[in-house]
Amino acid sequence: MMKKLHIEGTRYSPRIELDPETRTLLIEGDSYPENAVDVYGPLITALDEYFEQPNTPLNIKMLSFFQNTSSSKMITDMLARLQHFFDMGHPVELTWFYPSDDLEIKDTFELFLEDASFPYSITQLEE
Amino acid sequence: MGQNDLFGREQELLDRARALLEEHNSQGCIPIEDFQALATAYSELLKQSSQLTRLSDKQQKRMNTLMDRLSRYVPPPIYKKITSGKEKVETGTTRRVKLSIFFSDIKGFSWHSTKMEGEALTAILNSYLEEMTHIIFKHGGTLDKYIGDAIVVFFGDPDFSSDAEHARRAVMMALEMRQRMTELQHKWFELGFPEPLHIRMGISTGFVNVGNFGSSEHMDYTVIGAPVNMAARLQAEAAEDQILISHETWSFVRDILECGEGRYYELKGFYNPVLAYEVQGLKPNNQNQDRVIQYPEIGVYLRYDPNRIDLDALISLIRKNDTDRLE
Repeated sequence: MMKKLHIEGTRYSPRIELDPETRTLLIEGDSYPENAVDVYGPLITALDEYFEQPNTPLNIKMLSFFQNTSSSKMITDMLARLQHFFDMGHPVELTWFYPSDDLEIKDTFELFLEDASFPYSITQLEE
Repeated sequence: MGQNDLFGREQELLDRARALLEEHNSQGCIPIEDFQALATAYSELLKQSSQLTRLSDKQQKRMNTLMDRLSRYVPPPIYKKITSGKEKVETGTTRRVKLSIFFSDIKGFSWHSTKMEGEALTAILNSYLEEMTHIIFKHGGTLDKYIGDAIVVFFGDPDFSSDAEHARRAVMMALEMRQRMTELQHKWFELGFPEPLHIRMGISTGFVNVGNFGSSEHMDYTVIGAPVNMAARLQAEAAEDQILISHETWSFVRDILECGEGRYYELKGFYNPVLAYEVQGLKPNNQNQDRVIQYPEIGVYLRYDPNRIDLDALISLIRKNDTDRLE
């Protein structure tokens, strides 16, 4: 079985954990690193390996409220990959949490997901 | 992986297009299905570019809103300095400069506040701070802080012109604040607050340390030094509506201001008595010409410019106004 992917969070980049055992992906923390490819590149590569077996489910939780432009690019690439795997028959679902009562951030996440056809929800984070 | 790999997919598509062109160059055409595939891929990229542009705009708008909100908590000259990148946001970045420092408070405010409802107290205090802050910015002062009804301002940093100019602006600001207080007393009286509030002010000029003080996690852009303590102590010594200035401040403004005889004050924290002066007003050739007559207890408040209307004409105007009202 594929090994767990763990990318340590920093002041400028999120914690990322892809766990093949629990079938979960967690992205937690704001994202404005100098080099977004260094943060998200390994994840996108790992997702390709993760979905090698057919019909592999993945439950994604995102707790990342702010992204710089290069992070936004990598996240849209990641979402495009997830869409591709969903189209191939893998059960993918995503929950993106936003801070309570911040409708601007909620709007932003809706924009990220405007082309997604896999199940997703944009949910207020309980304080 | 480098930052160039951020556009790995886009580069792949371009390479594919170039490869197709090379492959079919000799034939002078590209198979329709290859062209179709390229067009589909470009369409995906265009959609993503549009999405990223909109996301970026949203984030920028949010940043602007947050910066605007933060700017309300930071004096404009400091905000400008921080956002321009000229200010190193770290402790230990202080400079020794000569500034003029101003302290004010409302005499007996604590006592007044025990006699007022919370909402009324908030309304009066905010109205007072709003008016005084407007005057501070008008005279180019850097608002250091509010401490309840107390206000601390300094002149000469971050924008410096000359020691004399800063001392002059500090005292002119104080005079305008005093004038404005007399008008506000009338307004507050009309709003149902019967007790007149009186401001007292202290100004001192001298070398201080100005810059970032505090910890790496929370800092203040402020001033420290003997002139700061002196201004605070002079304010505490001042009587109602009195402006006390230090000898050095006086030396910069004595040609434009009428001041009382210098007096020595025993100020806490100062070993020797401190020479200070009461500011009475501008010298005649610098005078603001408006005259103010006010007796709030009998509902009288009158302000006029004697250069534009003499007393006899004023009395006739009042009588006419009274007659018109009766008719």
